[in-house]
Amino acid sequence: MNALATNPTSVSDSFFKKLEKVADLDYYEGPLVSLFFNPSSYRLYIYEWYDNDTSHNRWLIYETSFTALQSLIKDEIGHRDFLLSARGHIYYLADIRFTESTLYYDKIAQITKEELPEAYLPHPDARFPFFQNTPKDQPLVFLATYESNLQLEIEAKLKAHDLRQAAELLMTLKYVDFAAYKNYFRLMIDLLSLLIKDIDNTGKEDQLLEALSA
Amino acid sequence: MEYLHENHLARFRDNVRNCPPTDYQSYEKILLRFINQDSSQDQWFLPVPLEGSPPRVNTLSDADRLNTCEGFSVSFNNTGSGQLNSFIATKARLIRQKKWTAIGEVQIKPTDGVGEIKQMDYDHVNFHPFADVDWGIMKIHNINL
Repeated sequence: MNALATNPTSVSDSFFKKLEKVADLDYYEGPLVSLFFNPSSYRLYIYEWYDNDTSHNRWLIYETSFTALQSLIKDEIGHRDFLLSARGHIYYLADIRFTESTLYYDKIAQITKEELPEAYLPHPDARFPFFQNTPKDQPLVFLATYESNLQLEIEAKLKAHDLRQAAELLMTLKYVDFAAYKNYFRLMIDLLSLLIKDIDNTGKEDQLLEALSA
Repeated sequence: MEYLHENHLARFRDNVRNCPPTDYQSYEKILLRFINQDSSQDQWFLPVPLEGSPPRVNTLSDADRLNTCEGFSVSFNNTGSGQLNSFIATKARLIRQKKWTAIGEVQIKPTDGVGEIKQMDYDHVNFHPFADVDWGIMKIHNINL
């Protein structure tokens, strides 16, 4: 296993340690692909095992969306396309060591999609279910609950006129690229202006777009 | 009957738990196992904690799961021959890292040990071999990645 390049990253191990595992999407004598969830932001993350040396296992970690995950589980997209659709095309490589009941994220490097080594990418023929010892039910049950909880949360944010938080939550449902976000939220704002009569639509729209482009 | 790796299995027996679990059974079946033809046959059937690699875990509960009776079992696949290529495709990285060169068809006999039944539907079986297990390799499927 090559030493990790020390690309600067603002993400520390405490960020990853807050994530909760939902299910292993692929497992063979240990997890190979796992779905994690941040309960406070509703964001979804994938851990993919890549390599190990005598002390560490290397995991590729990236954020995914509800719709991408749903497409993977329904076998509408393959593993490779799923991985390459990571949010913001940002990936983290983490060298994790387990010793005496503790997990240590000894090194974390951030890389871009372009920096992903070909050897790290899934085989072009790899489809979900990755193996039949991975029951589909567990991630599907999670996704159904996740979607309904998220909708309730978005409604609550909208009722509280917290557009920024509502937008953040909506982004976990679907994202394509920044241009698509804009159109998506423009539409949302049109809808909101119909739904919430007392909203100052013009001001909020500018505020929201400014926040999104930041 | 004494089991292979008995000293490890004994750690997981108490008044409540059995190791191997009581619902494991002896049977006759052909099961599959990844192998590295460049290493000795003893190395082909090691439970994960005895392989010498750091535990492949991403949560503490994964680590707990490895340090169990199940963790010291030997994994076999019950994958149909028509699904072998897609199975190999999903495990490409692991195959390269472990330097597995082939999938061996192993003829499991009732005198070889006990295995779980309930996971057969998921194509994966945990198996606890007896101390005098005699692995019968029927056929080797070479892996070309």
